[in-house]
Amino acid sequence: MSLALPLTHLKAGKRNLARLITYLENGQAPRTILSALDAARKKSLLIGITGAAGAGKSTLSAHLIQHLRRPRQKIAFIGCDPSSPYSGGAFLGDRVRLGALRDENLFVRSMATRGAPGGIARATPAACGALALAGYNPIIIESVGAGQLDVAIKRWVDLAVVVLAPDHADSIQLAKAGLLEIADLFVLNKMDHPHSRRAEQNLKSHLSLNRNTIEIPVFRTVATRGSGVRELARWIQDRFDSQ
Amino acid sequence: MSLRLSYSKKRRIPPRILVAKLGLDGHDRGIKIIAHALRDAGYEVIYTGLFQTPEVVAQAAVEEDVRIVAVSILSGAHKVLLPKVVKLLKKKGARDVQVIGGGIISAKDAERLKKQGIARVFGPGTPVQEIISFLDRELERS
Ligand SMILES: Nc1nc2c(ncn2[C@@H]2O[C@H](COP(=O)(O)OP(=O)(O)O)[C@@H](O)[C@H]2O)c(=O)[nH]1
Ligand SMILES: [Mg+2]
Repeated sequence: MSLALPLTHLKAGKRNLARLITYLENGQAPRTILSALDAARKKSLLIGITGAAGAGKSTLSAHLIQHLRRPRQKIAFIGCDPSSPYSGGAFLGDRVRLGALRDENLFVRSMATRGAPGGIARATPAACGALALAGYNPIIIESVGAGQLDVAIKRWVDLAVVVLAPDHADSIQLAKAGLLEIADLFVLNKMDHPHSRRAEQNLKSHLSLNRNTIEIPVFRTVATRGSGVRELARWIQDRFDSQ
Repeated sequence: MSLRLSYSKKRRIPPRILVAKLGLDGHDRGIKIIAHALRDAGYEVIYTGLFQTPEVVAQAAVEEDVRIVAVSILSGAHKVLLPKVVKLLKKKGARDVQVIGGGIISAKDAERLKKQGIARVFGPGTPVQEIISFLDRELERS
């Protein structure tokens, strides 16, 4: 049984890549493939986007995709949503915010968690490996954001972005509760909201309490308009392009 | 060298379906009801949102690796747009993906769409359970 075939064919088109991700999701890929994908993941910059449901993760990602990519550069997005514990089904709606974004160099995949804890699917890391092997770089991963902390993502992404929104009463509480420990940077989204200034001060004063968090950058965005995203994209590029 | 497995052999794996809304009408109540009924029936439902083009739908179907694309269309442009989805899927090498349509489509149009490769057309007011039973049977066969 030669397993090289599907991996070497990944660049040939989206069909093979998409099918491989299905096998990964279904636990149908052999161990040898999994370890190859595990190694391949390091080829690409992995950006994790986490934060409460409704904070604006998908809307932000749509703009981030446009600002991060260069002409002819392949870029991917994985959106994770929870599976229903009752039916096993899921409603995967992150594509809605990506709207009309569509071209050969963008690959978007929706993944249900299928009971996995931590805000992503079990197969998400391996799927990133497959995308990296196919030449997609960077890869943006949106976690579930069910209100609990999606800390699983932190372990293998290069950059953990925590999105907070001032219209979520507990958004900042959530940050205090532990997302602080995983954030490489914060995005305060919905800055068009009346409480946004107060939320920003609240967050910043909290960050200043700790020597480890005082340096964490805070970006302010209005994702629906795309404002502030350019600055965020530039920061990411400056930090990772030199490596 | 074969990684081929079908959904039917492992029914515990949730089937994935793309639910799309083509055309320029802004009504998504109906399709959302169907999407949620499908989720409750154990499907992983990928929803594209409103105002999609056949190109967007075909590309999404390939990337999401679904067996079935369910397209809702109310604007009367179904005669053009539905066959276009089928054509684009073929062009992308995804001729195994089935396209089903729902909306205000006359029996005459439905017959013609069938000839153009649309697997099934559901008229307005079709009970959701009828659609789900059809999809279950199709996935069982494939
Ligand atoms: N007013 C305002 N609404 C926003 C902003 N960003 C996102 N939204 C809205 O918030 C809702 C949730 O956005 P979404 O991106 O789906 O959030 P996610 O669940 O974190 O992915 C949508 O209705 C968006 O249009 C923003 O900056 N300002
Ligand atoms: Mg989202």
